[in-house]
Amino acid sequence: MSHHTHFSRRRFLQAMLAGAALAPGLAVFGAGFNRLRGDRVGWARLKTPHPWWRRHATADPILTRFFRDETTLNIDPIWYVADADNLSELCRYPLLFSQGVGAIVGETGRSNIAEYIRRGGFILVDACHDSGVTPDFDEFLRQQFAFYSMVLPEAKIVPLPPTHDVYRCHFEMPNPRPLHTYMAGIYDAKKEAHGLYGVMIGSRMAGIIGVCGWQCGWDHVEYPGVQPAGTDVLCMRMVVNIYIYAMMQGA
Amino acid sequence: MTHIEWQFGGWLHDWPTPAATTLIVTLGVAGMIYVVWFYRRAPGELTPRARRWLVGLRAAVVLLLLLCLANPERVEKTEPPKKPSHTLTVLVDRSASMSTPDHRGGTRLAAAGRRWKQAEPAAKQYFSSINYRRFANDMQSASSLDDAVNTGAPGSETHLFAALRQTLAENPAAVVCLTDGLDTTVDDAAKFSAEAVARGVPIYFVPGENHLLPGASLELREVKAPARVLRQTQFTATAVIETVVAQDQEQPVELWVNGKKTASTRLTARAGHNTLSWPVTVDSGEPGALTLEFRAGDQLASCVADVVESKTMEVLYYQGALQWGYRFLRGALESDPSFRLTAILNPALQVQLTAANNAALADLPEDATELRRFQIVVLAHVFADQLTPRQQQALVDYVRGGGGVLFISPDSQATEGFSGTALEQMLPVVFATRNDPANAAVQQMQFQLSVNAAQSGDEMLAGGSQAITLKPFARPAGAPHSPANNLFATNSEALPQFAANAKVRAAKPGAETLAVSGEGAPDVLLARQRFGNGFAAALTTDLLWRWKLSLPSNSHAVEKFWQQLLLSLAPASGEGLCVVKLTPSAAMNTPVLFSANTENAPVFEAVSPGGTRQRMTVSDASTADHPAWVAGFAPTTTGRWEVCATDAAGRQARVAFPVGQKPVSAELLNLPADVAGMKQLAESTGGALVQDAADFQMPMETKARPPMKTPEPLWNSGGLLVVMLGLYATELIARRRWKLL
Repeated sequence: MSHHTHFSRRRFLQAMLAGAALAPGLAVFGAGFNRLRGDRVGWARLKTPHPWWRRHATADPILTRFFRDETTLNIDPIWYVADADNLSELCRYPLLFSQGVGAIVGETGRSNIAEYIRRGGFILVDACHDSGVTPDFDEFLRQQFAFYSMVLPEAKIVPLPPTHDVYRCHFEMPNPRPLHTYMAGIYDAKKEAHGLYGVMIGSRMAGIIGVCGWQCGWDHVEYPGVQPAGTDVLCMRMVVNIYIYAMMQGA
Repeated sequence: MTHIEWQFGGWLHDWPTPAATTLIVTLGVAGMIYVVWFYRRAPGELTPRARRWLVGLRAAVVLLLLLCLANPERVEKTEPPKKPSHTLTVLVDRSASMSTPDHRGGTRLAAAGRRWKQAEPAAKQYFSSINYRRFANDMQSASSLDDAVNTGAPGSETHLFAALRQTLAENPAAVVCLTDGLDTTVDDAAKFSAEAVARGVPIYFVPGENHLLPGASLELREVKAPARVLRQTQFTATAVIETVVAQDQEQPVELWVNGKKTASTRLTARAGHNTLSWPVTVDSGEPGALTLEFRAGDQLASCVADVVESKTMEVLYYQGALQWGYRFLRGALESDPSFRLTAILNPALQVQLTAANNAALADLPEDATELRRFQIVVLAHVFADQLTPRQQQALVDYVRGGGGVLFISPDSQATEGFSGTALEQMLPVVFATRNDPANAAVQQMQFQLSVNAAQSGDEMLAGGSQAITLKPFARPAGAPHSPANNLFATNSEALPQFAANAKVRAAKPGAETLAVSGEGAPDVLLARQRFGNGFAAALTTDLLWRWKLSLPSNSHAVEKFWQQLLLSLAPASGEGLCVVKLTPSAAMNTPVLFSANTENAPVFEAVSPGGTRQRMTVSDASTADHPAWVAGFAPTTTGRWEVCATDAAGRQARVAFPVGQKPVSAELLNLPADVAGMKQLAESTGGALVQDAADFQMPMETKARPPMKTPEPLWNSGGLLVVMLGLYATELIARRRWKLL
């Protein structure tokens, strides 16, 4: 057998594909995407007394990679912890992701959250769709609303209309309603009925509350079939939109 | 005229061309030998035709690779102006000063004519033809020297530089000018001198001198101050003085604010006609009317500025990279309703937000007039290739016209891209370039930060802990007190803190460094400078959002910092009430005109030296851009007169000026000929001062100046890379087809 016969059709196609994949990279030689990135920022989860506060956190690098691939945001691939009882830790991050602030019952934690928001911080609350983590979505929302009305009396909770910029500021969402994920893929009309709620201080948005289970979406990328194909990407797109919207509002 | 040539770039640029060529040719030959050898040994049955095709394809790829290695550059050479003709142009100054006789009856024109007649025979030998022109207020052709000297009446002004400029444009071999060297217009001698040197045409002056006793004049032409200024800020008031003096001297000028002397200086006037400008920085103080009175000699002119508590400021914010600074800057500005923010995000960021107002712009305008409705333009984390040359030029024109630009970037890689751009020329700092050691250290640190971002196994489960040290601003050592220093209060909380900063090589001379880093060798963090009528500033840190998050929510230090910073860069609005004397020299029984810049008709009053008041009739002379009211009167006596304009609000501006028996003009002041100025200008162009025939020499050939080169790399285009890949892919397909793979 001659030497060249070891170069199989498969390897030939691989070489061609590699060349094709390389072409755009060479074409934009010296003009990398990274050039357009701003100063680096970290992605952090709010640590609360809730036993599941870090649920799906190990999948957050999937989200941060998505951020880096799809936007020019200079976001750190590491996920960080911001303890509600440590104000200086909270204030290292302009946006915090949380499984829910209703579990913060200590005075220090509550006043820290209020102070963080008053300084200009933004909190994105999204409930995990697992019934072991969030047994009742209505009750979950009530807890969040009660928390804000108590610790941040100047804030108002308002439902976000379908025309809101969070549905189109970076990615045009196909259906101007928040995408929901469901435990084991079983549809829940009661959960679906909830849209997104904005935490408003005057005209500025200080946070968003939802029960959509986006984190479950981007964490389940290895289990296709449970969620419709593309759910993970749509979940991450929605978070990207909210993140960018938060950046563009006055603090 | 330009022509194109090629040169090696990159690492071959510094090699001698033969050595670089030898290397490239050697590599090329070696590559060709390898390619031929490779396909000669190729297994399989290849027809000669197929072999030639494959060799050709591979050779093309190798040659293109060598082309990239050679890094050829297209060099555009701009040649110096073409060789002049062999025509001599003789200019004869026919202004009144050249024709005024002294006590012996001799005129400067006659004296210069005599000198030139001695040199003229030599000139006729050197030049194929001689053209004659006469000039005063304008220039006209003459058939001969006698025609130029004798035809027509003397002119009332000397447009010397304009006549020379017009003559040089015709590109003669040399110019001879019979003059006393006194340009009585506002033309700039230094500017013309630079133009004449660039032309490379020798100018010979034949000085006209006589024995007239010299006179002098002084005119406080104009004073300017903004109509409204914010309390506790600084603004600039300017006086423009026209003076004609027989010899170099200093002219004392004073500024009195609300009846108190606050500044004085001595302006240097050269022999001849001078237009002198004196800009003075004034502290606005507390709200109220501020009367600014400039005094020079026996003249006085005042204007009024209103100091106000607040005013609306339109801010245009342009962002080049996604970052959190905008949220916090916007919050800081929106806490004061007098700030109105319009944001533009670079289209590459792919962010679309519903505009809060109809004033939204899709991109940064390429025309400065579209920027004029904003007082400040903030460029936040912008990259050089995001701004077109026209956008950059628009920003430069905008600032030159009185706007303010604040450039913010913490990223050395971004700022180095602006090195040498029009934008950097406007900014108060010179950015470090890629090869600066200081910048290299920062980039190394940034690189390490980015590669250290990988998460360890423990962090993946437990989460990381971000450690960011905020560093405080520091005031530069020995910085003089100014209201700009109020950006930073004395307590540490109010000192801005930043996480990262870009390196600058230096602040420019004349720039005001407002903040530096506090540790080690201080980096310039914040600097500003006047540019034209506006301000340009550079903040080389992030947008300080981490500082905002680190402060208690009841602290307003961040808001105060941003608002004060923008206010310190904002242009002054309009012009304050002032009176301008339109008639240069006031004489008895001759109408003297004045104008005032109020919206509604002011009351004009003339006050005689004896104190008699006389109300003047006012007429509207407003244009689309500027309100203006004109009034006039004829003084009935000599002495110091005063004219006051009072607006509807009761504010009053005035001018005081002397009235003589006859009007005085620079032409008739008997100023001595500016022999030194003529000699300097002549010698700078390769000419000479012709005082006798021997002074006139054959002009030397213009020394060949090297052409200006503009290199532009040619290889790093996407097209070339696509061609290379295409050739390579074609070769792979061909190899596959001919069973070599």
